[in-house]
Amino acid sequence: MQKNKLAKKVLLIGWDAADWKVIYPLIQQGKMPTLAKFISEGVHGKIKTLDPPLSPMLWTSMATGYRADKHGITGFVEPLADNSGIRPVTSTSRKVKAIWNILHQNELKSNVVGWWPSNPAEPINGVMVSNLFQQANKPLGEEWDMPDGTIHPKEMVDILKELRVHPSEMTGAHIAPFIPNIKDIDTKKDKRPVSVAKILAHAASIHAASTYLQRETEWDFMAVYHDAIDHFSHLTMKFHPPHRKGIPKKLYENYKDVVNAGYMFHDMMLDRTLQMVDDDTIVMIVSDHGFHSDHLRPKYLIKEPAAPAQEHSPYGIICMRGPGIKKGEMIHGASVLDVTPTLLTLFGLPVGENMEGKPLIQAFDKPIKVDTIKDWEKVEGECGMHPSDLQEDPWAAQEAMQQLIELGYIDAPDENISARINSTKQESKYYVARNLIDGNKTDKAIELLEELVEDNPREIRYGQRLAQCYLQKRKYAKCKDLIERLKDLQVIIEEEEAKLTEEEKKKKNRSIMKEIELPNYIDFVEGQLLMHLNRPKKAMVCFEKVLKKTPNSLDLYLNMGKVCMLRHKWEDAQEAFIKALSIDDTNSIAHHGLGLSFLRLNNYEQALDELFLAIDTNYYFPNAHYHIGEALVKTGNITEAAQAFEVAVSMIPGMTKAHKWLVDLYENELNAPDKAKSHKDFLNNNIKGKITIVSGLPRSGTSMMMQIIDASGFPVLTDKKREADNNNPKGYYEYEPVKKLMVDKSWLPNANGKAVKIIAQLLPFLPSNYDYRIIFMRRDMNEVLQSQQVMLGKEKDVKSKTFPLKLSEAFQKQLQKVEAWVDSQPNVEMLDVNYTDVLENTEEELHTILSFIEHDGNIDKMKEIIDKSLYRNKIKK
Amino acid sequence: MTKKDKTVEIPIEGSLGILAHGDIGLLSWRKKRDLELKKKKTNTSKKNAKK
Repeated sequence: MQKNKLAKKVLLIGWDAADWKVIYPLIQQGKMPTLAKFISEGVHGKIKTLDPPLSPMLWTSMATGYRADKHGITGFVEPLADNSGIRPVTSTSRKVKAIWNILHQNELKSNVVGWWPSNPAEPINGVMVSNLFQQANKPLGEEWDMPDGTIHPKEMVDILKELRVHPSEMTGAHIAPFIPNIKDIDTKKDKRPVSVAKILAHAASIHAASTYLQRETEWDFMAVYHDAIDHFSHLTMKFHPPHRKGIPKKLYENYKDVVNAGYMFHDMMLDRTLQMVDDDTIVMIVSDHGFHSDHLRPKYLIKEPAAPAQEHSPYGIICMRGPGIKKGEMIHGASVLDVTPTLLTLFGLPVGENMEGKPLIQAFDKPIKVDTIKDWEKVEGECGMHPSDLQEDPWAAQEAMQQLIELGYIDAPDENISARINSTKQESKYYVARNLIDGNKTDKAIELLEELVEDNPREIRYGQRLAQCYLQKRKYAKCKDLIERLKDLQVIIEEEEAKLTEEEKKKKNRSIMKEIELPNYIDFVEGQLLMHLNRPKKAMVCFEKVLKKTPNSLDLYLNMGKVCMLRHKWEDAQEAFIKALSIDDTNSIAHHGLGLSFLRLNNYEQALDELFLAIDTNYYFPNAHYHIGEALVKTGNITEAAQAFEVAVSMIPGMTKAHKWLVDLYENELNAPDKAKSHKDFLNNNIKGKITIVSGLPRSGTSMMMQIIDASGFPVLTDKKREADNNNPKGYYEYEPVKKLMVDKSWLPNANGKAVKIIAQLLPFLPSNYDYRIIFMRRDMNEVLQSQQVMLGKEKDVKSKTFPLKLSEAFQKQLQKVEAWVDSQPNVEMLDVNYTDVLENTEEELHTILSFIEHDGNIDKMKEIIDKSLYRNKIKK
Repeated sequence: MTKKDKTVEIPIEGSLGILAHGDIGLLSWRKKRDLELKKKKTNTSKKNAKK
């Protein structure tokens, strides 16, 4: 199946948690010379992790090209098949082929060393040394068994078992570079030096096995995984310079060198590895996530399973060197999911169309054509995977389990095994849901989270994630309902905690952050909901509540910035984004927000600085490229602007605003009519114009909004056939043909460039060949229904307070359908406008509406339309 | 042990550099360490025998 093989051999080196923020200073000091040379001879950049940043899930995504819902590795532990307990995740739980299985099917040989998870070793064409290889299960001097399943093929066991390093073999000479004061530390009281010895012994074991296999066996692909940087970092990153308030000085002095020494040791191992690599081999070094090493280091960990993962940062490292790879260049936009597609491309094999990543072709020095295959899982034949019924000996995994407990990734086993198994299952489901959210598969995530919330009503974390998913899918009513339930639950929990004795409180001491964080977090989600409902003032109240208790919340400032941008308060937006950047100066959303604020305030140079920083951190950021284009046009850099718009449309082919710029620039500035034609054709074939729509449920204020827009001087489409009456004394502003939208769309050209009223239920019948901006009127459902009853002459029902519950539910469902449609349309922009806000907060709302329809209207005339006396069907709250 | 045609002295207590040299470094160090320990043991038993 191989066509254009780019590499004779590929060596993939995994350094768990490696982060440029630690590496760059070490390179500058000449302390990582091998990596410095490596990146000068190849390409390097950041690699984006997936959420949750849990290593077994990530390394499996790296080796398969799929997320956890597809590959099946869903956390650190899994229940035993007979439900008698739990064990560390095993290779038998992986549901799809890894890269080495695909290579096996293509008669290529692989050596895989230490990959997580890879126990029991798979019967591949080559050698597999599992992730339990380095675990010492006996004291030094006793027979150190090699459990069955650790190595394939078995003939390699005798040679490789001698290459394991026991932690007790480590001497002062090995430990001193990490802990210069080792002689002054009482290791009976402080176990950190023992942990350093153990981590180092593990790294040395993996390195010894991999160097042996690298030299003594034939291979086409080799993958070596080291967990030491992650483990050194979890152990001692809190002591990494600079010293932070609250960290005991003595401990800081003892352990401040551990992390750096760990990286330097990896550089030394890399030196040896590269000495044995021939010129035909492409070498790739990757990490699965980064690790906060600066002021972003969390001071506390929120109590939850796998809490140490809160120390992980979202960007790891990727570097590549070898024949056909560019030299001395940076690559952008890499993801953990891109590794397998890139490896397949290097071997001239097609990339699975259902894989979620892409080959990193920007790293290659020549353009290449990427072949694809529908699904590698459908390719039949022996691939070196385990038979599905294989079971692993749990005792062999016990030591690895102990290590996970020591690292704090999992708790020591409960007495109640069944509860433990159940909580493992629930957490796995939660991790898959988070992974789905990360991959924009929100509907699937909602299914899982609804089950979790149903089964674990007291687990607020699950509810919070679900509330955010509802928000994303615009299921506002459900979101609001859930937030209320979470608030009630929080009150109950707080009351219960108030009743605890001092002793019980001490026992629960670890949950201190939980007590502080959770109520804030509910406020935060509520703030986001209010923002979605276009109630920025109320949203800001929620955010400010959170701000008081959690002054350094990045998400909070980002959301505050977004609110300000929605309100076109650019100076306030700047302030929020600057604060966000003071917390994380690499945050691409903050750089983009700040850049856009500068752009709207006509400060183009500073806008460009910030926008370039945004794409430097996250290259796949179509809106940042688009705004770079805008800023470049303003500064007269037309050619570069066109390039930026081209990048934006390459990322979102339906981004009509970028196509429009490109037509304009190519026709009027760059004298490139041929180039303009393709974008013009796109627009002609796809977009016939732009229509402004006022929508909502009947009686939600749509007529009032049409009147307001008319008063602003913006053209409106109405035939005034439906005359004003007592229900709408100022007129309905309707257009008769709209009612037949389901069957007749021929009238749409009449609406081009104008505003027209279309009820919510008809919106999904709009064709996709126009751009639409929709002002969507929101009003309390009770008020809407009451107003409708009155209009239908059912005042009696209103007086008797007979509430049409079924109708209310039906309307809610219809709204959800409409919101789902809006979400799926790239050519639709929507502004939610609250009816009550227009009446009570008129000036601000009208400004927002004008900026949304991009019209310089007459505010005073618009204000004259607002008649509070017409707010007759008001529900008292 | 040689590294780029240069003989490297292996200290009995080992070093990170030797570990970083992979399987060859590890096995060479163990060989030296075990030999030295054996020598030490022999000397101690000889001394004890003289006493």
